[in-house]
Amino acid sequence: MKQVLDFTVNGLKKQVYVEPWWTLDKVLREELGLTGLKVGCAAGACGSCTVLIDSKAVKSCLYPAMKARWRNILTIEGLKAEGGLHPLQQAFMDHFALQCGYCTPAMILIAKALLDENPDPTEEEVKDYLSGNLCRCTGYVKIVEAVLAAKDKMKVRR
Amino acid sequence: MRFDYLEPKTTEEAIALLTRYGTEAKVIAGGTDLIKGMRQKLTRLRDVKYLVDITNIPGWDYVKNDESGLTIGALTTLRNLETSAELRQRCPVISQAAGRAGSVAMRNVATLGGNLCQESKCLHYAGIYRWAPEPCHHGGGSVCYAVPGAKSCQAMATNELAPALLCLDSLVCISGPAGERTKRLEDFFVEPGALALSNTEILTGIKIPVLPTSMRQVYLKYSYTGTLNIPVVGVAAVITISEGVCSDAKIALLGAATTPLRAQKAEKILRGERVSGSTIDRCSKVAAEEARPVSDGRASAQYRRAMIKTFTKRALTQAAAL
Repeated sequence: MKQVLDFTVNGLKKQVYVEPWWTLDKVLREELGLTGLKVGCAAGACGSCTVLIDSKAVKSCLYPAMKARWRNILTIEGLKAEGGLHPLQQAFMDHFALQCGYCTPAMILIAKALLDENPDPTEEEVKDYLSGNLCRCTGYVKIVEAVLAAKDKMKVRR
Repeated sequence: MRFDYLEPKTTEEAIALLTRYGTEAKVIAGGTDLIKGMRQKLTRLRDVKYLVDITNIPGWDYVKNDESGLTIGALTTLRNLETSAELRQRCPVISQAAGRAGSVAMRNVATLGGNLCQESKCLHYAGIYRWAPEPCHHGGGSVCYAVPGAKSCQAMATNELAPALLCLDSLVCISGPAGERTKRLEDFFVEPGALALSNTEILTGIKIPVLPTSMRQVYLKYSYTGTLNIPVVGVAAVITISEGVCSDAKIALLGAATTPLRAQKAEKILRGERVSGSTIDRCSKVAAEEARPVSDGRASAQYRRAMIKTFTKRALTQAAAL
């Protein structure tokens, strides 16, 4: 029997009805149409389902929807900045940090989680933090470059 | 994957639910291991109809250091263990181990209790053999697809936090219908997927009665790159050296046996000896010989033995240099 789920998604209060066995990825994608997050492995390995829950990166494919009650979810669609793209989004474009783009929404969110926690990570720290997010196209070099470039931009703005 | 999701607010409520639903209920904390397993339809999880989420029960998410020692609540996330200033200062080996489990996103949700209660699953049980008509030992049957003829489950232990906690002589705190009890951590692991914990009991925390005096603590892990990061081999080493002589050594291993293993013979090699490259070498060799690895799909027994030697040597060398 479906249960009510009240939570906040990208700053807006939402109420949906969920089966108790649904995981958060299904709710965000299918009930709320937020298809930026992808379901790659459905096993917590690839990271393409990454969203931020109360500012922390979480793999939504393994996160029971029921756990999301009253929480604040951020998906790629909710990434905002004054006057255009978030520095991470701009940096990913400027540095060719994507090809097919499948891993990108999650990659940007995990990078945001990193920079919010640690505004000045080393290259090693970036690699370690992003190690749960796989990319089949780029070989990661440009992704790390983009995160470090965005870090510098964001440091200036703070 | 179908289940009912129950959210008790107190320990008593949780235990009552576990008692009521018996083998059809399972405790869920972070859920990263459980949800994955249920989606994969692992044999043991096929009949689970009720998930009892214990994360709404207050008072199990803490790191506390007082006269009775160091206690850590079972719902403390691995990420909090990794970043805890208290732990990094007093028992850095715990933070090191927690920081090597999975990835950041997993650690934000995965808990200490979940990691200690995690079933060690070989790649046969978690792979194609889950469709075999005859279940393996781990699935309630009587064959082993990893080691033909084995009389019990042979999966190598993978509980990331166990070696560090074993080196610190930890106790586990358990709550159940009969009340609360504590147990030595080494007696907690019985065999892969079998803990000294009944179906109606919940692990509520761990206790380290005596804090280590030595800060020479290292946890090293060997696993295949990134992603889920299940340890193939894990080595925790806590050694005390005074005037060049090792007065105490604790070494614990993952991937060496069906439960996390204290390498006691190896420890004896080091204790009372002058710490040098050659003693460390001898010690690592004994650790590898003491280990009882099997080829369980993730790595061959031979390879595990070699890695146990290599990583024990590295861990001891690094610890001695601290």
